[in-house]
Amino acid sequence: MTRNEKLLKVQEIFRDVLDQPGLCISETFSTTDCPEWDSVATVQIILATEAAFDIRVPMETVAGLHQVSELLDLLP
Amino acid sequence: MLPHAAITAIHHCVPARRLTEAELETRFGARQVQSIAKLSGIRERRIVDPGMTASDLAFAAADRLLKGRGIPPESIDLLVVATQTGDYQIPGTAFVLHERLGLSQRCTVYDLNQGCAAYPYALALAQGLFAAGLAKRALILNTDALSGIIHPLDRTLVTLHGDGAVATLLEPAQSDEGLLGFHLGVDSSGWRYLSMPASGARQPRSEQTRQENTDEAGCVRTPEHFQMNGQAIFHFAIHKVPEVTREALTRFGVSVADLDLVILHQANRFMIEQIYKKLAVPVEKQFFYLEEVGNLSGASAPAVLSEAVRQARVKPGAMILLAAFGVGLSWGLTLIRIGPQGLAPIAASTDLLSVS
Repeated sequence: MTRNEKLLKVQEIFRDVLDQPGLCISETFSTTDCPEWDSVATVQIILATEAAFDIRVPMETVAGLHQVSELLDLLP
Repeated sequence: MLPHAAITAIHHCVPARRLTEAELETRFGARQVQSIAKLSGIRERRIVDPGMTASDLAFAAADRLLKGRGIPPESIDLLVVATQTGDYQIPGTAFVLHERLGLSQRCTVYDLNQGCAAYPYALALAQGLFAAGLAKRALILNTDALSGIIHPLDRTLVTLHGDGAVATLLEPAQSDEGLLGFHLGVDSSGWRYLSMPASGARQPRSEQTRQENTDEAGCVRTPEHFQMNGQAIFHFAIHKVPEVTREALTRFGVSVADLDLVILHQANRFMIEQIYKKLAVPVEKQFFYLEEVGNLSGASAPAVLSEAVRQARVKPGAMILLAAFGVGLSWGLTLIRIGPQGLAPIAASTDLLSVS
């Protein structure tokens, strides 16, 4: 899976969690771009990403996650 | 078999003052409050009025339990007080409560600063002293009043936490009842995610630590306030608690099918539901007690047990698994079998109106 394919898969997760079907995200999309992306949404995004890619995100990454690229860096 | 302890009475106490959604919506806005409430399942919290402390709540819970059961205070030979919000840095709150409850000079006292996982740790400590022949009637007091150390404009904490205390009486177990096992542990790599930075010797309080900071989500706090990285804690709980619960079940040689009740620390409803789901705990073995009181921190898990007793959900001979987790980041699980006589609720109010 290319990085762009991963981005598109993650985008689906963001659309679902943030309840914004038309949302388009980039690698630099961050919490400052979207008020709805709060700590509760972060947890839901991480849990959905872990399930979709069969991974476990490290706690320190979870604690500081603010930008999509930080998530993409972890995906296999 | 070494002498071991059994829970023979339990009672909890919360402040009478209610912090309602309406009040929080005025402070934080309706959308934010409703969004959090939807996941947390918490609609109301009980918080102490100025002048009331965690030890006042603990005293009320203990006093009502002792009087309700007709237990002479001088017969208590072990007092364990678990709190993060003690009356003083020195001495420990157990000494203050020892005097206030009129306990004997032969009664041993311990203070435990353990956070949300405190209940299994306090029970394990007492169990060890029963096994060593050093205690025969113990009073375990779990109490926290975090409302006093949370910044009133920290939306992520104010909306979740309430104050409360639980008193548990332990006496020698008969046959196969009582505290049957413990499973305790910690992942200290996460201790920073639940902390109060300027609260001790490492970062002494100063003019600088009194300065307010506002994060990008609009939450206000200072280093002198309790702080939580909610996303890290949530992630820890969702993954770690099911994992260690499975370990505990294996260690105890039981399965979910053998249990009558599975009690979890009441951090928030969505988290608890996720953990129950991962462990395949059926609805009839679940119990929630947070909607009207909030997350009571170290008093949360025993308050669930106490409320379950009040609602007649704990039958004679019941097998209960209790799991608590939080500050540290620590976890503690214990397997409890209620005696054949059951656990009758204490006939006293759970509300504390004022400090006596």
